[in-house]
Amino acid sequence: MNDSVFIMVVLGLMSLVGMGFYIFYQHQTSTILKDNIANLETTVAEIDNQAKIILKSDMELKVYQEEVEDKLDKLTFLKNMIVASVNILDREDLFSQINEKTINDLGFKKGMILNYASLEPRAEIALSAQESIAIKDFLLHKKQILASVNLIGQDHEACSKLSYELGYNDYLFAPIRGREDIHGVFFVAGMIQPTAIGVPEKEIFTIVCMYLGQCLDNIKMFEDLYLSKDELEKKVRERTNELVKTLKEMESVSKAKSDFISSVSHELRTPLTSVKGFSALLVAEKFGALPPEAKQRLEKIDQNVNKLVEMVNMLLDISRIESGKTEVKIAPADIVKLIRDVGDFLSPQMQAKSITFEAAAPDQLRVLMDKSLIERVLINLINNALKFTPENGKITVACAPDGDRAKISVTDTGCGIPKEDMEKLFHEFYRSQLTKNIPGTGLGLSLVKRIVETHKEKIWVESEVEKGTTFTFTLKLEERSAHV
Amino acid sequence: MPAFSEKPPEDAIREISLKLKSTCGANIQHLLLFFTSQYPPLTLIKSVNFTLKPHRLFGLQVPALIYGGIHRAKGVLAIAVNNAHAAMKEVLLKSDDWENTESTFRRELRDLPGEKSFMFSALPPGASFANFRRGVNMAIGKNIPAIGAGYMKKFAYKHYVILNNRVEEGIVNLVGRGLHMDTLQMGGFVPLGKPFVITKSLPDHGLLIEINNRPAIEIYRHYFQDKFENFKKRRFFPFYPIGVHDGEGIRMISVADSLKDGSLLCLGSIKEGSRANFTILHQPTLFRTIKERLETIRKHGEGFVFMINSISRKKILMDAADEELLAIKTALGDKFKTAGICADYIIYPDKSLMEIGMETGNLLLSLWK
Repeated sequence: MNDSVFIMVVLGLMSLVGMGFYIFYQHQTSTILKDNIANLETTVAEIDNQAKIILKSDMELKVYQEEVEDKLDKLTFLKNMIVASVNILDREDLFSQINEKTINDLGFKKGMILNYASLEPRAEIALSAQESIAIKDFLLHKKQILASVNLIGQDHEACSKLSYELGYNDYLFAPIRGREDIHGVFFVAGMIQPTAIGVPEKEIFTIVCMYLGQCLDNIKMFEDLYLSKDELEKKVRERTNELVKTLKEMESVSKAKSDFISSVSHELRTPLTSVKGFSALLVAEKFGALPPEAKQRLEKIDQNVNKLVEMVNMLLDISRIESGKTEVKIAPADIVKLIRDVGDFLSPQMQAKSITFEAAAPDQLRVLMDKSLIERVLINLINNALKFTPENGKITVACAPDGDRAKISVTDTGCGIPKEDMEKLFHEFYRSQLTKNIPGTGLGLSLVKRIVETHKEKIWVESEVEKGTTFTFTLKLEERSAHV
Repeated sequence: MPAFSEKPPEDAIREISLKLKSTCGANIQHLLLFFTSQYPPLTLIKSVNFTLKPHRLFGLQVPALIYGGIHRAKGVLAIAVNNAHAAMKEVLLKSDDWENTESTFRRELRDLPGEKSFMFSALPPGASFANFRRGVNMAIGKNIPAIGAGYMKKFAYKHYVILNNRVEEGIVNLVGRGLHMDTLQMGGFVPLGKPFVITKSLPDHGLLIEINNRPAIEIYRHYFQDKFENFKKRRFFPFYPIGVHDGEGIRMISVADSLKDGSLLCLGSIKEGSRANFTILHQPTLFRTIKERLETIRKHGEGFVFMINSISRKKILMDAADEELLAIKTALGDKFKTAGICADYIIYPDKSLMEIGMETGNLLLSLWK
């Protein structure tokens, strides 16, 4: 009995010890587990904290990246805007550049441009009628503020009422300022990004307004220039019309003069022929002998009639050439032969004054000319030389090829022509003071000039008083001669 | 076979035509044309009909293209499909027909019987992906291998599509059989911080209401602390997609915006009870993954890889976005041609849920043999 009790007590004690151990072990395990859980929780919390740091840093980086990207976008926008508007010289074209995309690129949803003086809208984007009225009303009373600042927004004290009327306060006003005055006002509102208006938005908006101001200055300059050019063109047109009118009048006067001379000459020629005939018969005493005094007078009349006939013939020739009635037959001919013939023809007069005649010319030189007209040119020029060359003088007719033309000159050793007379020398009826006492009609050189011009050639004169004069004219060489 | 050009419209088509004719011959069955907004669709149709004269023409205006290992903001990408065994059918859902997706699909696909081996879809802004998916599930079945591009906001004045010789607008789908396609998603996102549990959501509406029994937005406050207000103001949600742990890995869900009650509007659905993490794109992980995953593909022959990249991923990666494309091109080697498009979200065959899925943040690679 005692043994069994003892055994039971021992067993009881052993189980108590075992349980104690078990409880102790359990307690130990649970403590370790709790510690582990606590460690795990700390680790997870640590990981979570690390995640917070990572996410926050990453976000900061993204904000920075976004801002850089935004700035780049704005720079691209500015570049595109300048490229698109740099050559615009019309206000409407310039304002048409301010469209929804432009406003969006500035970072806003709505916009408006108004003329500063009249407050007339030049561009309006996505604004309601009420908004437009509120903006205009604000500017009507407060636009002077913009004269002294580059930008105003909702933070300006004058804008509180407008913010209330618009129902939002993310907007900006800026003047579009030119060199001399303010062209307009630019208004933008409603940020696309859900952030407040920042410095970049304000800066880009101010730059755009300054650029628009410059564009409008350029347009104004162009308009002014265009207007003055227009004015100048108008004046030139008026003057040209006046000149054309005067020229036509002159042509008509000239034609009337030619017609008059032509008809008068014609009318004079018939009675003159008759007078000449009778005076010649009378001087020749065909109607009987005349008393010496009468004969002397009649001879004077006959000389003057000759002079008149010569003058009338000359006038008729000039008017025929002028009116184109003279038929010009230009054909190849030898000018040297013609010079020599004319020299021979006038040799009696030259011999009478003991004047030496020299033809300084090659054996032959073929030119394109109306032989009979050029013959008259040569006769007139040599005759002229004869008149003004004193006795024992010399007349030289030279002729030489010069490129595709022949240069023919008549040189005398006469009294020469003063410089002041040279220009008027070829005018009809003009006579130099030096030659007043020498008989002449004042038509010979005029006729010579017209004949040369009919050949589409030139004539000119070189002279030195007391030494002599040279008249030179050109004629086109026959191709073969030119080639030779 | 892809061909790309960034010349003016008519010259671009002429250049593409020369390239395609030299590789595919003059007879082109199907021509897929992806173009940026600088290219008027009518001019493209006219030029294509003048030069290439394909039997069928399918076109889609996209915000950006992928070609030559980089993103292209301007250009035309043409893909010629000449396969005697392939059959394709276009299904257009105009905006007033979006509610009738199922019936339209059934009606239009009557003359394309049999099992469909692929589908390409493009959803314009305003189209509900949930409605679209429901309609497709009922008309074709959940298991159709579908890829596609979805757009949340307008990238051009209009989102044009070309169906043969018509310019249209709406949800456009290209359904076919006879062509084999496999897909692969490039992630590179790594989970950050303590996992959280979605305690309340409306998956069909893409609405995440509560996380850890608190308003969903509070999870952002927890992580961004003093920077939270700036984070919210700048709408940086897409930069940190939520990685939902599903059976196969991590599915990326992008948060588009937050609502006044603290709920989050998501691209993609998250079921209640799902465990998720904040994720961040870790470039070394990304480039390592590219190398590892594409190595096996490169060893197994040749083909064409059509990529659909999400715009938010492009924004997250910034300069590295092109490096990623180049790394893919290099990893695939010369035997694989690569080209693709960009989208706000991508449509992909969700192998874990066995249905069409949508997500943003990852890059989808579809491999065509």
